[in-house]
Amino acid sequence: MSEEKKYNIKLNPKKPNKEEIRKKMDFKGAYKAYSHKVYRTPWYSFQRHSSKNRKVSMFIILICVVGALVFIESEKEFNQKNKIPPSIQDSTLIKADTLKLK
Amino acid sequence: MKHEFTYNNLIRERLLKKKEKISEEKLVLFAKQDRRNFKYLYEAYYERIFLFLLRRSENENLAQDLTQQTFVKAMLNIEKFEFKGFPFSSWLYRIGLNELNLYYRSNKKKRTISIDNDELPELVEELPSESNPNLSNENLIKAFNFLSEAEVTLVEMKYFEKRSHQEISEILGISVANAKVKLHRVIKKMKNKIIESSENK
Repeated sequence: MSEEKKYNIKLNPKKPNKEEIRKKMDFKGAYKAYSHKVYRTPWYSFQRHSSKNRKVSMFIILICVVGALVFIESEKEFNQKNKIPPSIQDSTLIKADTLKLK
Repeated sequence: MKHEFTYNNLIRERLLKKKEKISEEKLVLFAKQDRRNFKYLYEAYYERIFLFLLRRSENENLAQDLTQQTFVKAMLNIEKFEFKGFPFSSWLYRIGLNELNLYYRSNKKKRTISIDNDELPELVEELPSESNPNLSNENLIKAFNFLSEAEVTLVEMKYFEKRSHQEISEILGISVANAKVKLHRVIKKMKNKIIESSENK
């Protein structure tokens, strides 16, 4: 059997009693850490309230998606309408030599 | 809203007086409604979770941090918890184990195994003395170095913490039959390693 130590083995470790554990652990600390995470991170706050306002949030997301799609479509249409053929507008395309000949 | 507030207060009063025992399922429901009610679940389980993590961690401070993280994670995700026949504690143990594994993985440290001499005889009994009459506690402890972390967890739960197959399966999220099979394989593996080592000598 190789002597390679994969684990740190503690033999007969000292166990703290109930009072010692109680002193170490308190709910206030855990709740503080929880509320810190919940209120500081937008994703957690969203998750926390998602059950209450799931319908509202889904409706808002749907409106945002539909709005974005409508905007993209209208942009495309606007660009197509305002597209003027370059041959008419752009004077630089008319060659000077051809004018002289005429 | 007002109704919910008064209802919660009523539960709090009842719990404080300890006149009425409220089921775990109800406590979880109250904690889902208001996270401050999680206090009752915390007080019911913090000691067990702390000792569970202390056995597997280097020192008390680390066990304390991991226990706190376990409860914070539980509070954050309690909405997802549903009763499917398993006790709430098994869910907490599972979160604790995940936190512990995350700690050892991210810090690249050796996992700690705590063994009391009184806990070893049951494990020794599992290994037949005929095949290895000179089986000492030292050899048995050395055999742990050939097991994976998951295998060590199984042995710890069964032989050191004296948990039932049912409880092990609930904590690890596997079936009872699977827990039994896995444990049988681990014991077989340990046996082989001990025999190998005695032959090499």
